[in-house]
Amino acid sequence: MIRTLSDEKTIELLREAVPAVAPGQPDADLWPAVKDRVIHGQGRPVTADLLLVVVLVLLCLLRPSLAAIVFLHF
Amino acid sequence: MDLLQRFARGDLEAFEELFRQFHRDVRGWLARLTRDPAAADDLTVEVFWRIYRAHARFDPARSFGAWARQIASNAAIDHLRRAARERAAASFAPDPGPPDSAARRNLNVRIERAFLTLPPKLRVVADLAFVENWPQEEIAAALGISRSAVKARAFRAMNRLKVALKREGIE
Repeated sequence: MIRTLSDEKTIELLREAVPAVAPGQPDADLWPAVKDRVIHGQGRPVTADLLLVVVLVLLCLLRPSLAAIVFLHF
Repeated sequence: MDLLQRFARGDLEAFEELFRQFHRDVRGWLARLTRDPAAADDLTVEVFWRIYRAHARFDPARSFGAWARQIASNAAIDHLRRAARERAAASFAPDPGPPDSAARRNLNVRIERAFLTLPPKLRVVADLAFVENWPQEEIAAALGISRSAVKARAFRAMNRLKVALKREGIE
C-alpha cells in the first residue's frame, strides 16, 4: 500500500522544520549605497542588452560591411 | 507636484523620501522570501536600484508600496535561483540549527532539504501559503500574479514537496 502524507501533516512538518524568518533590522543606513548605485549606474546588465550586443557582434562578423554602420551610432 | 509624480519624473530627492518610507518594508519582505536576513541589505540596495531604473514606468496613481513589493519579489526569486545554483555546486547541507533531540534535528534537516528542492517560484508561494498561512489574495497582490496562479503554484508546490519528502524517507 502506498502511504502519502496528508496536506495538513505536510504543512505541520514544514512549519516545524522551516519556521518563519524574523527579518531583523538593516546593519546600517542603506541610502548611501542606493544613491551611489543610482548615480554610478552599477546595475547588472539587462539580459536584453546583452542579447543585443551578441546580435550586433554576430552581424558584424557575418557582414563586416555592417560594422561601419553600427560604429556610426557610438 | 506630489511625491509620486516627482519620483516618476526621476527626482532623486523624491526617491530618497520614498526609500526612507518603504525600505524597512521591502527589506523585511526580502528577508522573509529569501529566508536569508544576511543577504537582505544587499538585496534591498539592488531592489531600490531596480525601482529607480524603472521610475519612468511607474504610474503615480498606483500604490508605490505594492509596486516595490512586486519588484522585490522578482529580486528575491532571482536570489533564490542563484542560491540554488551555488548550493548545487557546493553540495550544500542545511544548517541543523540549535540542539534539539537528534532525531528531530535529523528530521528537520531532511524536511528543509526537501523544501529547498522546490523551484523558487513555488518555494515562495509554499512559504507564504503553508508556513506563514497568508490568504491567497494577499499572496497574489504581493507577488503581482492572479489568485488562480497562486492556487496552481500552491497545488504544484504541495505535490512536489510530498514527492521530495518521500525521497527523504518521510511519508
